[in-house]
Amino acid sequence: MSRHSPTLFAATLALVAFAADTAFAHTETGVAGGLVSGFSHPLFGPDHLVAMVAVGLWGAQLGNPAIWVLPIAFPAVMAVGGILGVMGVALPLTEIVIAASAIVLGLMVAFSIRPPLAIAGVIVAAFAVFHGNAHGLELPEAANPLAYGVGFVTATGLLHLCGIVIGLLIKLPAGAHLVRACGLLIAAVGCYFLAASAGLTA
Amino acid sequence: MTRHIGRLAGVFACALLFPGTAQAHLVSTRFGDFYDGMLHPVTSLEHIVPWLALGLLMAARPQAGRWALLAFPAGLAIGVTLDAAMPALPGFGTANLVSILVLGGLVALDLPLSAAAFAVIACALGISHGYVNGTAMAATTNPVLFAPGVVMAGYLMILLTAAAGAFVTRRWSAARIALRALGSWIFAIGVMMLGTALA
Repeated sequence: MSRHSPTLFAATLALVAFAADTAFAHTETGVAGGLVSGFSHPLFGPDHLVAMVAVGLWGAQLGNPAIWVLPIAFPAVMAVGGILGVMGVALPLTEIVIAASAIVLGLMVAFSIRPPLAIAGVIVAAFAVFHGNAHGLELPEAANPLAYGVGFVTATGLLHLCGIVIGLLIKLPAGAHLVRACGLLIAAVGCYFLAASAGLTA
Repeated sequence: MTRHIGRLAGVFACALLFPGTAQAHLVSTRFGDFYDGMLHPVTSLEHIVPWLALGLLMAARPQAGRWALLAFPAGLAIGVTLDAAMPALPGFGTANLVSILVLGGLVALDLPLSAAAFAVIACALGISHGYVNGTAMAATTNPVLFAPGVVMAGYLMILLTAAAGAFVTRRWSAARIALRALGSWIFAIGVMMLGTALA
């Protein structure tokens, strides 16, 4: 890499931002509408957002092979919950389990807990089903169900990537502490949503 | 390396900027039956997603995967022709949804597929998608122009995807993992689409 690439990267990001802006301005129906609603569904629910980032952070902390097994396995398992949602089957206590997923995954990162891959996989997979269910329930009402599916799966995957990229900071001395602090923050957000789903907040 | 990244960024930027303008204009103008055939699959995610998946599958195994470059366009041609000869056969729409999850799953699993397997998968995918694209033909559409348009769109899409995928996976080992993750996303999309169709 040279000194040019950060500039190019910034320019590309700027283009992405501008291109997306013009696209939003014209069509809110059909494929574009479905993509927008699907893509924004995981992003505008902070409980989803932090839990997905936690998956990436934990994967990075666990290192090889979890760093790539989790992001590859997650969408496939999430689809199981998604298909239940699509068929109108709402899993019980979805809001509470999703809040709990942020707390549990956040604490795993905060305390840097390293179980064997199989156990980490089962924990993440169990939560993935509930996250997929919450997204899938809204899929049939989308302007374009296929575009909605593409949007929410892409957003979820990119959140994992965000977590992994932040998680790569553990290679720096101060970075490991920063990553654990992120885990604590995620657990705190999860606590807030757990309280909210129990009706304890205004 | 810097030049490559610069070019890549440029191409990426163009790709991001153009779809908006292209969609706004070309769909409503009549370019003729060849271009109708070429545009029809690229304006529908139902076709774009599994075709991209085929390209990614080829990118992971370029040696064996190149056979799909022949088999897929041939399958598309057979599919459109089949539709022109025998319209309204059932089952192809569902088969296309199944193709999303099958191809996504294959990309995620990263199986060492043989050349023969690539040829069979690509040809079957081509026939099914060619047939459904063929149903977009109106009574006045000339299949002799429409079919080559669909074939050209399919060929270009898998060629460009496979070339780009093979390029990045050979340079960065992490790209191979990204490729498999992308396959898993496509698998998830396919599972939910099939659920939507059958629900």
